[in-house]
Amino acid sequence: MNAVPRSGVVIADKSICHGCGICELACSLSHKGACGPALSSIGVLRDPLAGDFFPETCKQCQFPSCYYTCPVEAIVIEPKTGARVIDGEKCKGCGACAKACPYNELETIIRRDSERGIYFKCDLCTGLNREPICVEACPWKALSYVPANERRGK
Amino acid sequence: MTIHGWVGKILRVDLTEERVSTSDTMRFAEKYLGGRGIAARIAWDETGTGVDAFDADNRLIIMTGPLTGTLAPSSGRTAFCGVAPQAYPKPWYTRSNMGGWFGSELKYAGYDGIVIKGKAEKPVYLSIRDGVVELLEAREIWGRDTFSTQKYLMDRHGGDVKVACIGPSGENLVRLAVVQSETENAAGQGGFGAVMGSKNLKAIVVKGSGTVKIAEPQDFLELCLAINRDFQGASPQERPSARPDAGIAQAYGLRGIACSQSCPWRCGWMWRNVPGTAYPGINTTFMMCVAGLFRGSHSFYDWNVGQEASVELAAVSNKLGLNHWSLLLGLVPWLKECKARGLITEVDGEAIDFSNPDFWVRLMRKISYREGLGNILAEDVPRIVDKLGKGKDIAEKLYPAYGFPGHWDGHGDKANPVFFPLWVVSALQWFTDTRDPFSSGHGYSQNLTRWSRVYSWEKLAKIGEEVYGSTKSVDPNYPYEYKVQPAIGEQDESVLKDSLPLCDQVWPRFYSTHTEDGYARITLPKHGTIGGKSFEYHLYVAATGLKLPEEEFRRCAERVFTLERAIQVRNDGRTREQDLAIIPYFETEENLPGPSEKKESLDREKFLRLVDEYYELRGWDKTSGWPTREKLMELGLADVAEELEKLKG
Repeated sequence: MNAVPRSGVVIADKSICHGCGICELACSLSHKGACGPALSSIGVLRDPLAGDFFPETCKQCQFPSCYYTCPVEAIVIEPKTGARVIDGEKCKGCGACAKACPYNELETIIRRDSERGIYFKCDLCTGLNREPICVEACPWKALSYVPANERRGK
Repeated sequence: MTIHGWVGKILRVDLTEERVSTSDTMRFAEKYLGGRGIAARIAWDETGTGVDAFDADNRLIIMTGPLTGTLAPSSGRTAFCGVAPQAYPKPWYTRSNMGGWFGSELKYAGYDGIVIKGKAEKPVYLSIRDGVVELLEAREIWGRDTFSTQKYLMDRHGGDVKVACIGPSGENLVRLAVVQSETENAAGQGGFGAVMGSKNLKAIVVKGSGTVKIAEPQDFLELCLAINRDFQGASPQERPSARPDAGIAQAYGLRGIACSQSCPWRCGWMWRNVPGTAYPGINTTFMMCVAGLFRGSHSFYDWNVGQEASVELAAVSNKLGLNHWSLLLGLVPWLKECKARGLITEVDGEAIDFSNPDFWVRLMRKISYREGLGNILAEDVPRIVDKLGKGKDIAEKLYPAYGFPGHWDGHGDKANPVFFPLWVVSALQWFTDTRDPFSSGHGYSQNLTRWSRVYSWEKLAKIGEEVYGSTKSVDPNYPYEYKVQPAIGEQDESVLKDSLPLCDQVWPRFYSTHTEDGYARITLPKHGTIGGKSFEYHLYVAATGLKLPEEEFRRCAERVFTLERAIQVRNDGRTREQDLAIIPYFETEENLPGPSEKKESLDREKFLRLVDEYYELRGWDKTSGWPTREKLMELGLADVAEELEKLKG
């Protein structure tokens, strides 16, 4: 596996997340023009009876399984942020990336857009030309953006 | 054509026939918005005179609105409407609503609402998974509490489903029974849990994989973010900290939580794994404002069961599916006063003792299961008084009208400190309603009570001018002038909040600590500056793509309120005389003195002048209290006008 350029990442502080889901809806609204966790690249996992919830974000891995696995090379490294991005034009909807992702057991990181029949994931909002919208929208500052050059570890 | 905001279909369920179908939301959307508004139209069309709360023919109308499931601040709400068993002297059509995540999920499944009629032969629950709708046997969950019911359904249908259900209280037709979701989201007022119980409907479980499409996504996004930005830090107490006190957090697993989708605020805490006091074991529940009264430690609620027991009592009440508000602002204060006067001193042999958590748990269980005296207490205070022939005058001090205890009106309600003359507007909100108006009508009395501690009355008067049209509307020196306008304003605003929907604790957005004059505003390149009063309108237009003028949007609220009045007139013979029945309650001395420093009471003569002014401004006949034909025609309700004409004979 060849190393790919380091990426920025959105990280979540579970201890102050209020579970409101604003991050999910800001994500789907800005990227897909619709509101709903089904089209969001960030997922708030909730266990309401236990009073537990936290946002699951794409780790933008140093060695991204999704990137290595895609048979049609639809996953590209965005040059500015380093985000591992699915190119919707190239994606054939096979789902190999979603299966390969080691953090996607609840399908919160790589999801299928059922209307278009393709997969999508967090692009760190590079397409929107602004800092990640989930970070901007979180009312509790439970999310923060760490650019590639400030990122430590894997 | 793509539908924006709404998702286009209303699910129709006939439990008697075990039949499911759908109808078109858009038939109603433009005129009645959603939520409470569309529900009122359906009720007018389908729920006629003489339908009792527990009749199979009563429609339980569960409606979201065009903003449910969207990023609009605090929009994750759902309205529950129908003939309500809690209403007194007879069940009549009214409304309730709840936050949480149920309504959003329903929209993601493709439905703006559910209209349920009939009665299942055996206990059932309704399962909705996108287009697949099934009535399933509820034998295994009938009898379970609301937490255990949800656990069962999550085990069976997946941990990410959303559930609205009833506990034993709803099954046993307790008039204080709520429809419950998660740990403390509930449609409480009205007793709609008992309506579900009467239909043998234990729960509705829903999972949706869709979304809500937005007409102007970019505009809508920027509006939502800007309103949230203004909101953050706009509270008189400033923004609550993200983290609870470390010691308490550690001891009680405390966590801040948004009670509903898209809420940028926090009104309560999630208490986790708190040890019980009455019974061993642990309790986990969210606690909203009113649940805090379980603890006591208050001049009126003069017991102190401690923090741990208060969490336990809130959890027990939530599991049983009892209405916190009616319990803590009505039944418990009534029992407390009955005890003080020696009218009722024990419950089935056990002394009434609110400082004993054990007593609380047994009391709530007796009510929920209708055991012993609980069978009478389950009827709620106005009917208990009729049955026992005791404590009538106590009830009259606690209950303004319609079977609902006081709320932000300065008299019965011992928990909320509103003073004269702010409650003159509260009285005007109460007098034409069908229930306690304040679950969606806090905008005037609560907000002014709070903000008067932060801003000068001069500053508030200017905001009053901006919002209600005159500085006199909020000026304490004019107690009986310009009070009808804010009352009608808040009644219509409450329709907007219940229909779009938006949360009443957050909306309307009038006050801000971010502007010099204290009036909330946002500025966006596309719109320029938008005043707080118009936030709802801009969200609605951007979400739905309907380009109507703001006046037309507000007229929808007036239309809905007037239609609800027409339902009252046609189904329940509502008149001016019944409206005035709230006056004696307000003629008693207020709880707390305001700026005048002496305890005031309502001046009947002056109030009656406001009453006439109210009917005039509403376009209702002063003598009968009926909406006039002209007003109904003006609101595009020609068919309603015609039906009311026939009633006149």
